[in-house]
Amino acid sequence: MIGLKISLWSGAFLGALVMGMGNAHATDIGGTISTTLTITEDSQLVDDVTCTVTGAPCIAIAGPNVTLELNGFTMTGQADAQTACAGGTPTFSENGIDVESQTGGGIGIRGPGLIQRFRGPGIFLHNSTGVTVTGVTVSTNCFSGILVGGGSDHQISGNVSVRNGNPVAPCGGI
Amino acid sequence: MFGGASRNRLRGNRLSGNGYTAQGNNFGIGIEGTGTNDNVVEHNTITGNTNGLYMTAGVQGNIIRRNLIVGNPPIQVDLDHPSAKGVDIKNQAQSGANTFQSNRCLTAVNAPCPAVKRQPEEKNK
Repeated sequence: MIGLKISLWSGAFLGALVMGMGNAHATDIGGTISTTLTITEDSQLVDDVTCTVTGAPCIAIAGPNVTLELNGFTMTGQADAQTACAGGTPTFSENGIDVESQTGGGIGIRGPGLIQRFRGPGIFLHNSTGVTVTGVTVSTNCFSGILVGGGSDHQISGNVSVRNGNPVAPCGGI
Repeated sequence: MFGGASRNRLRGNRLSGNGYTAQGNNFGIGIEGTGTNDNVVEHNTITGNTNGLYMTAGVQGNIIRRNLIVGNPPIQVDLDHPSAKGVDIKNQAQSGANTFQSNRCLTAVNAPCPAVKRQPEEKNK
């Protein structure tokens, strides 16, 4: 009984921790994210994440030298479970993890962990520099699993990218 | 990668089952658009995608080495959607603009694809 109470309390706490939160420093992340969560310091998933953000990223990384540890948990968006792009209007900006115009370097996204079913890319590195993405599985995202637009000097290694793509734009795994 | 993404390293990733057949230009790994140059793509396993490695016209200075790029697209796509015409490596850039070394593949456009056997420089690694 005590264990159950602790578990229920933890779940409620985590849900409250991220729901509706706009900006966060060092953060333990889990539960439902309903508005973009912007992290500016090292953070980690401590539970699975369900993203209900529409037309914007689920988690945005802002600032240099920030690492997001997925810790084996799953981030799930709103796309169709089988075909991704059939799950409503494909929305380029509705991605799982977004790194936008970050040129300070030192940003890391570390698996293991699964990023799936986003109506945009699973991970989007846009006009940024020196991001490391390692050990992440990206699956069933509309557009690409990991999408790199502009920028330079990223290290993308040891990831698994499956069942991503787009019926209009040339997209795919990475 | 697109839009001038440069000097990136894609290493040891596994990419499979990516791409819509009807789109035709989906891929496992893509290098697209002017200025998407000087990237290194190495030691990746790319199988069962609409195309394996897809490169558009104008990209240059990219090094593609020691990747396993086979089964793109898978046979059921070839048989059921013969108009898809995907390949393991589809290089639309100018010949010689990018470097291909010791990749293992079966089908290619404008890229060397000698065989799936080990290339000489790999034997002692």
